[in-house]
Amino acid sequence: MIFSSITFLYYFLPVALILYFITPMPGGSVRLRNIVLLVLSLVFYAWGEPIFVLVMIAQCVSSWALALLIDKYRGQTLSRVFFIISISIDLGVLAIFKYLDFFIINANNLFGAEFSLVRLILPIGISFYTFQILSYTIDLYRGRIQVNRNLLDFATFVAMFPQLVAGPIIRYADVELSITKREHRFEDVSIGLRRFVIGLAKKVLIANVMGEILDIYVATNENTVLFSWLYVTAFALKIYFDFSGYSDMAIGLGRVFGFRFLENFNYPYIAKSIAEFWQRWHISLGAWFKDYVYIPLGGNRVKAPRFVLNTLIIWFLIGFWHGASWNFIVWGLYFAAVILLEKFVLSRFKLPRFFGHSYVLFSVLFTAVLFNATDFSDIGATFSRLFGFGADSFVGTESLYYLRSYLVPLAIGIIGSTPLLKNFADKLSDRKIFKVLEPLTVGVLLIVSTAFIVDGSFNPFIYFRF
Amino acid sequence: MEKFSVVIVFAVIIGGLSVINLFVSPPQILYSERRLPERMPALNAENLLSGEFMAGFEPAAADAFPFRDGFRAIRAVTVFGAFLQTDKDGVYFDTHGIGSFAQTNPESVALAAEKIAAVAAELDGLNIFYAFIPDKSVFAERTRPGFDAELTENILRERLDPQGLQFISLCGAVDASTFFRTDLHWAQSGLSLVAQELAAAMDIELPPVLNAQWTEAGNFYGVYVGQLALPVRSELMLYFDNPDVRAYYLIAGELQPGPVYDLEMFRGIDPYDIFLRGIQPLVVIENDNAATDRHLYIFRDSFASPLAPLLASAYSRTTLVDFRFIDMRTVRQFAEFAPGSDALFLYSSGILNNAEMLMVNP
Repeated sequence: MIFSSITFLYYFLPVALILYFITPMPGGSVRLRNIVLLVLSLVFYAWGEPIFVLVMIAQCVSSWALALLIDKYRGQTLSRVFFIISISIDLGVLAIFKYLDFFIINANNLFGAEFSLVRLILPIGISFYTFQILSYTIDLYRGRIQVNRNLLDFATFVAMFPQLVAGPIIRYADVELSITKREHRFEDVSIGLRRFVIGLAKKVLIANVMGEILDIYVATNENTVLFSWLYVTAFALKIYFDFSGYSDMAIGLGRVFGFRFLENFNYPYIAKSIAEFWQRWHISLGAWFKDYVYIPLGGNRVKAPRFVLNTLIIWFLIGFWHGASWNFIVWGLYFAAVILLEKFVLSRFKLPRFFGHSYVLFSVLFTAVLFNATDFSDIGATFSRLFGFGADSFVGTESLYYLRSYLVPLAIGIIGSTPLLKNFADKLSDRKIFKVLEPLTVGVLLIVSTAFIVDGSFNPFIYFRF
Repeated sequence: MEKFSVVIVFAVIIGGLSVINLFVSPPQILYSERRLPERMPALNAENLLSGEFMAGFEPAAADAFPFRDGFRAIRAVTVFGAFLQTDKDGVYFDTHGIGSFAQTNPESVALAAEKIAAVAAELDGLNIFYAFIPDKSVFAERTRPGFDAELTENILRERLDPQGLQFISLCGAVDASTFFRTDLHWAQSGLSLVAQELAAAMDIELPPVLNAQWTEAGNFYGVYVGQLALPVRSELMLYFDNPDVRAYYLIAGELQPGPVYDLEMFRGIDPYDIFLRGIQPLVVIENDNAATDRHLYIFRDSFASPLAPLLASAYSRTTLVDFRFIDMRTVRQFAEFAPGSDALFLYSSGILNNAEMLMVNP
């Protein structure tokens, strides 16, 4: 089930909110509400994955049980053994479902073998919830959190539907207290719903409209420089509004249910360097790799050759996390190369801010080609076309028509990817008119988003495939 | 109060529409979109486990959503009014009315030509003509590459002229006013130039059309009104009333008489079906008072329905064949294709760009 659907908005969500809030909290305990949240989450996941919900449940149970053993034998070799088993099971499941065919294809190419592909369907959100489970197991082994002895509470953490299928990647340490004890304040519900509606509008009114340009680009026969730039710009805006919109909805719903999830995006397109860009983009993923891979490898406090190696490893893994395909690996290593360039070359010069912003934007626009590529020849052709090589002309009738037609949505997307609107809203928030404007804006965005969904703008989220 | 306001707005919209949704029964027909709504899949274990129930739930829920047309209008207002876009899902409007940008699919046009050639090869001794109907969008005020009349003509002529088929260009006889303002089809009242162009090429003489012969069918909303989803004025539909012609329709393996203009169908889901009852595999029009005893065979799509009664003034028998719904073997049971007769292949861009629909082996 996806948030931007009639099924979720007008069937699942009202029922979920009613069931959750009518469930009593005897003695202030949220145990019953956790059970309701868990059941709702399983229904939510089973709606899209009626069979694979069992895989998620099995991972929950095994990780929870092994965590008890890790804790029981703490300080002994057995604790380490159970830790390795637990991590191996979770990574093994991820490897089988997500990467097995990739390994088989490359083994066949490398060794001339003819192993058959298994062609397993990728369970939605497996990369997200597996990383959440791993964070629990690793933090428990490191002694940073207490073991959770209640399977239902643990399963609620893993399966919580707001962030289940596309993040943010929530760490157990961040919600440990909220899982067992949390407040439900009316103000949080209000802020959460507002955040949810803003995320919905970002997805439906901007990301999906940008998606129309991508579909048009794929279908066109026009081979021009302008159309290529229109494509990469639309892709950059689509992926940002698609993913940050989902994160807004997840964070908003989490808040409605009494959780505070960490931010996942912070206007990445205003960054002045790629290193800063990644501190603002998919923050929960970057932080996960930093804490669980990069720092254990030595982090920054190593000699230059080791730093280069660590950077390449991290970005190889981040690329590979996004998809079992070489274009994602190249995409990750591209970021590694730019970050190393920043570290060893650009940091020696005092460059104007304008240069920083520009080169970040261009670097990110180019990654659209890598990220969305179907094969390497496609990447080369699109890159070349951006600079006029292999293009029939600079502009064409069709690209001009669509530039004109999508000019306003593009402008809204560009402005919306900066903090301008947020700053404007913050300034207004002290004024009386804000009391009217806020609910009015929420209502209008909700109705217009519903109109777009009803009229068939029905696109799945890009990050569901990871 | 302010912390309540967002919750209240959210609850009213989400809760209100959810409750209304519970009590409103799904429509039988989506009139504005001229289609049947998606039906809710059966709730059973097989459909649940296979995911078919979930996959079918969303489109059915969207089709049954309360105030669906109102929400579609809100999207249209947002697209045209706020986003200032020049079309919505390819549907545009300008001073000529509403249209939809069609593409030219060269491979499909070539396939259509091969299918036309295959049928023509079976028509020994007939005078065979062909023409295509330029898409309405070529007259759109805002330029966007779409239907390419020149490319279409070149592809057809390259394959059909060497087979001895004679091309009739309608490009000079058609302009924006030929078409209904709100529909993809041309209006019968705008076809006099087209009919004359065809008649001249096929060497027939059409009697003059008298003003008194134009009859009002009523106000008409074309198919684009629903696609645009904005309030639009209706337009008047006229039809050419010729008491000399009688129509016969192939129903259950027999030719059965019926009206040339079916006013019952005008009041149905697609008023354009008034002309020769809309989708028909084979129609025969007879005219006892025709100027000649020649026969005409039109291999056609829906655009030929308002045109055929005009051409039928000159032919004693006009047979219309729609290869989307009938094959040549069946057609032969009802058409003798006598030498000396005329044959006209007349297709719109919709068929030429989707030629796989024609039940003909090239």
